[in-house]
Amino acid sequence: MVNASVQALDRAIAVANLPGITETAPSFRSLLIIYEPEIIEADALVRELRKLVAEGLRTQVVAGRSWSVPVAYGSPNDADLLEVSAATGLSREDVVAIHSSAEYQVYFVAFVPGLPVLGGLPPALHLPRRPDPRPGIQAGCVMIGGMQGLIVPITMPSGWYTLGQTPLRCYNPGAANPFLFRPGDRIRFRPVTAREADALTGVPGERFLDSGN
Amino acid sequence: MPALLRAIDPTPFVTIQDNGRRGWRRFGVSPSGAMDRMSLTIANALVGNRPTEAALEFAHAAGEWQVDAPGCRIAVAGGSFAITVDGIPHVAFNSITLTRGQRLRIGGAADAVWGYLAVAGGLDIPLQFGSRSTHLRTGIGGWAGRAIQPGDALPLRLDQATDEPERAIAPPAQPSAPYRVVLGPQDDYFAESSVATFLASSYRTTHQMDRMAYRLDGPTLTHEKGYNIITDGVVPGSIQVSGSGTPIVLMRDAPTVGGYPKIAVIIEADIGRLAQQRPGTEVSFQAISPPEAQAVRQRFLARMQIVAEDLGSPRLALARSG
Repeated sequence: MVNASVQALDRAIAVANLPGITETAPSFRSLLIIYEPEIIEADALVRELRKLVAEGLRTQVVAGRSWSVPVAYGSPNDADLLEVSAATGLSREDVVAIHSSAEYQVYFVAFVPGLPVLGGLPPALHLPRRPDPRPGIQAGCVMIGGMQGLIVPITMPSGWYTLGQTPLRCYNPGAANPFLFRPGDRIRFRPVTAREADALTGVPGERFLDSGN
Repeated sequence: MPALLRAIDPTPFVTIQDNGRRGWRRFGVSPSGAMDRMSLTIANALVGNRPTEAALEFAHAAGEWQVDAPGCRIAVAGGSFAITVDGIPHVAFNSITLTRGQRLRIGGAADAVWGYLAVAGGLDIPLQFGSRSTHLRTGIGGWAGRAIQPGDALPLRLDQATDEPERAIAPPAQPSAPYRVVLGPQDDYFAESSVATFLASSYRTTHQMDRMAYRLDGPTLTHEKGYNIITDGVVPGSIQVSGSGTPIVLMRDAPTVGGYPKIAVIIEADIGRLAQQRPGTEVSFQAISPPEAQAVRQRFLARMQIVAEDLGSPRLALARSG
């Protein structure tokens, strides 16, 4: 899995603490490296990176934490869930069962603050995205699109499908740690009723870490 | 009583911007920051601030403002904006000392898009993710993450104006040279003839320009491997080409990643210059090598440094303004 290599290189760079690198940002299969050529020139940087790769990237290291994310499937309404059901030929219950039985990995956090892009969506739920994004998708929406999943951190447009809503907030601007998820984290979705989800609103996100983390 | 800069009748897109944020892309936070860093540096230098101090950035005009402090020194840079204080004309690229209750009005400029209103001592507002820059789409930074609205009163760090001589700088030359780019990272997604077309043609800036992106009008570019790439990181200056074949230059407020192939990236030294081109301006591109880009960047940073240091010395500024 190429994303494991991306994350391993990202970790290796952090550990090596190369001078001149101001930040790195992983995506699916590439790592954006922002550097200051006044401190390290491009050629020298590439040499250093090749050295790190040659030393062997530890792709097997599981750095991430494990989360159990409650989802009220069919919230705020079940229009998208029914659309996914029709498009996949699966019953509404099967869509929920399949989506909540998989383990997802946070490939990277991008687009808007705190948005986890999730790998591991079962192939039965792979669907092309809508040709045009819809505006006003609310924070907490648990969505699927293409081969990925995501959780919406702030109101935003999206061409993906909303399967349900979680009371967890992946972006908390005022908090000491504003971003709940990090690349490499693992997520399972746990179906809850809308009433249970309401009761969990405002509960600190860290409470949904699996024990043993 | 705190010193305040009051927005009496601000234009719609006034935001607080500094040099932008670094280190938060991995959490999906856009870098933001001044569209034209050289102009931010000049505005700050004119009032004795460090080059990256947060200032008010405005599009086309800034509207009407009032100082609620015994004294306050300000300066406007970016273009030859029409400035009046209580109806009396002043010029951009000069510092101006305002006293309590005076009305500052900043109108349009024929030669710019983005203007910078710097205040001596700076705005007394908190950092968010290491910067005071506003990112409107996600509500981060600046003044509650939003554009300045009528009635807003921005706290200032200084409540008295310095008695140092006023400072001035000649408006910087705006060369109409091609915008220098480094090809890639996905130039191989385009037909070879399309890369040649991109480098040989004239494009025009359009009205579709904002802090996030500038859409260009001109010859369409043909993708050879489709117009969807596996989403990857983008930076300000990245030139994305969407399905329609139109180049779109990503600017300071661009998201952290994008899914269209990028034919080239405009070098840092030329992003601010492009940002200042009004709709309908002809622009063209020139490919340079990464080592050349590195050398140009060093000269650009040195030039900003010189501007900041020269103006930082009142004696020199006095000599310059005669």
